[in-house]
Amino acid sequence: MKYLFLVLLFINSFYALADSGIKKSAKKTAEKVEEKISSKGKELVDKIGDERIKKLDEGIHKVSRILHKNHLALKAGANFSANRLETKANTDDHYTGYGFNTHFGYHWSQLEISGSSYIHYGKAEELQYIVNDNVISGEGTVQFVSISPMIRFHTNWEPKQNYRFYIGGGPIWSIETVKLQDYNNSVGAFQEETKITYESSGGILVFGVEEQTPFKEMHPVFIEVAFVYQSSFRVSTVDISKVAETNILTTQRSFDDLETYNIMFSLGITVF
Amino acid sequence: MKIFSFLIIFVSFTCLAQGTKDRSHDFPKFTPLDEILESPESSSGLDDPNKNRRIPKYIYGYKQRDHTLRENFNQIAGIYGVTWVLYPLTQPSVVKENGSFKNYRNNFGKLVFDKDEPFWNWFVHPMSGSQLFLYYRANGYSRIDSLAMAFVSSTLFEFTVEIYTEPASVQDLYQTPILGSILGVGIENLSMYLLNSGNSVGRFFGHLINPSTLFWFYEGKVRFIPQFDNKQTSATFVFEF
Repeated sequence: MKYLFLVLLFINSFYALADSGIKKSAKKTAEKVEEKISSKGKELVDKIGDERIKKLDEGIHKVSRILHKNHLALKAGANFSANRLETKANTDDHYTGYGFNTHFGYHWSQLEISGSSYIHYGKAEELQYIVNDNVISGEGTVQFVSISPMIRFHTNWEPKQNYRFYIGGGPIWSIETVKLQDYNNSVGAFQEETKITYESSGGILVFGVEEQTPFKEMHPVFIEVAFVYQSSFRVSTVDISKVAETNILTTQRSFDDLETYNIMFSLGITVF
Repeated sequence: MKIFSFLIIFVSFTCLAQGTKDRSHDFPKFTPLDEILESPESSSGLDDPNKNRRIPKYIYGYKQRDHTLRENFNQIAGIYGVTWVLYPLTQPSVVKENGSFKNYRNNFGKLVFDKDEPFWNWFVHPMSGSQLFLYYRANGYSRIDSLAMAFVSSTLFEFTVEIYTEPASVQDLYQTPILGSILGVGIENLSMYLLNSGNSVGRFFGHLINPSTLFWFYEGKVRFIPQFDNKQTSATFVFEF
C-alpha cells in the first residue's frame, strides 16, 4: 500500500512536471508568436508613419514654393573667417577669426532687404601700423565689427532639396580694433594700454543657401559664404586704462593705410 | 517588583519612541500636477514634464494682441521719458563732465563708430536692449513687434538723449535692439521656466532676470484654480484685464 502510494505520487509528480513543461513551452511559443506579430506590426506602423511624414514634408515644401513670405525676420548665426591685413607699413598678415552675425530685414518671396552685422575676433602676429607718423609693430588681438545694408536675391535653383541658392551684396562699414599685447614703436610715443581703431568702408558679396519653409517659426537654416574688401579712412588711438571711460587720444585721416580682405563662412537660423 | 516596574516603564518608553519615529510626518497634502494637467508628452508615452510638480498659484506666459497707434505712441513716449531720467542717474560722472547743450547742438544728427570698450558694446547695450524687448513683450507685443518697438526706443535715445554727451553710435543703434532681442528671447524662456517652477525661490530669480513680469502692465499672469470632484479633475484659468 505504502509503495502503491509512493508510485502514484511519483506518477502524479511526473505528469505535473510534464504538464507544466508543456504549458511553459506553449506559453513561450505564444509569446514568441505575439512578439513576432507585434514587431511586424510595429515595423508596419513605423513604415506607414515614416511614409506619411515624408509626404507631409514634401507637401509643406511644395506649399512653401507657392506661398509668398512677406515678413520681418531676425536671423542669427556663427561665423568662421579667414582674414588678411595689409598696411602701408608693409604688413601682410593672415589671421583666423571666430564670431557671430545677425540679419534683420524684410523678406518677400525672392527678395530680401536686411541690415546685417558681422563680428569676429582673432589674433594677429605680425602687425605693423603707422600712427601719427610712428611705426608700431607687434602682435595682438583684432576685433572686427561691421554693419551692412544688404540685398539678397533668392533664385529658384535648389542645389539641395528645399535649400534655395541666393546671392547678395551691399556696402559695408566697419571698425577694426587692434589691441597690441607685445609691441615695439619707433619713437616710443605709443602708450601702454592703448588700442588702435581703424574705421573702414568697402563692399560685401555673399552666396548662400537658405531652407525654404512655409513659416519662419520653423526656424529655417541658412549657410553662407561672404567676401569682404575694405580700406580704411580714419585711424584713432584710444586710452583703455579705464574701462568706464572712452578717452580718444588721437584721430587722423588714414586713406588706404589698412586694407582688409575677409572670407567668412556662416551657419545660422531664423530666430523669429 | 521594582525591577518589573522598571522593565515595564523602559519597554513602554522604547515602544513610544519607536512609534513616534514610525508615525508619518504631517506633510501638506497636494496632488501632483500631472493628475490635473495631462501633457501631450504623457499622452504620447513620453516622460511627463509635469510629473510630481507643485501646483502653481499663477501660470506665467506671454499674450500677443493688437495695439492701436495711440497705444504704441504712449508706450514709446513713456519709455522715452524714463530714459531721460535713467541716463543721468546711471552715468552721473559722464553727464557732468562731458554733457552740455553745446555738445547737444554739435552732436545732433551725427553718426559715428564709437570706440567704447567691449563692456559697453557687448554687455551694457545688449542688456538694456533685452530689458526693452521684455518690457514690450510684457505689454502684449509679439516678438517681432517688440524688436521693432525696442529699435524705435533705442534710436530715439541715441539721437536725442545720449547726444548730450556723445554723438550717436552706429554699433549701439544696431546692436542694442538686435542683440538685445536675441538675449531677450533667452531671458524670456528662462524666466518663464523659473516663474512656473511653483517654487518661491524660482519665482524670485524669474522676476529678477525679467523685472517686467513684476509690474501692473504684465499681461501674461493667469490665476490657476484646480478643481476636484468625484468624477473628474479639471482646472479654471482666470485672466485679469
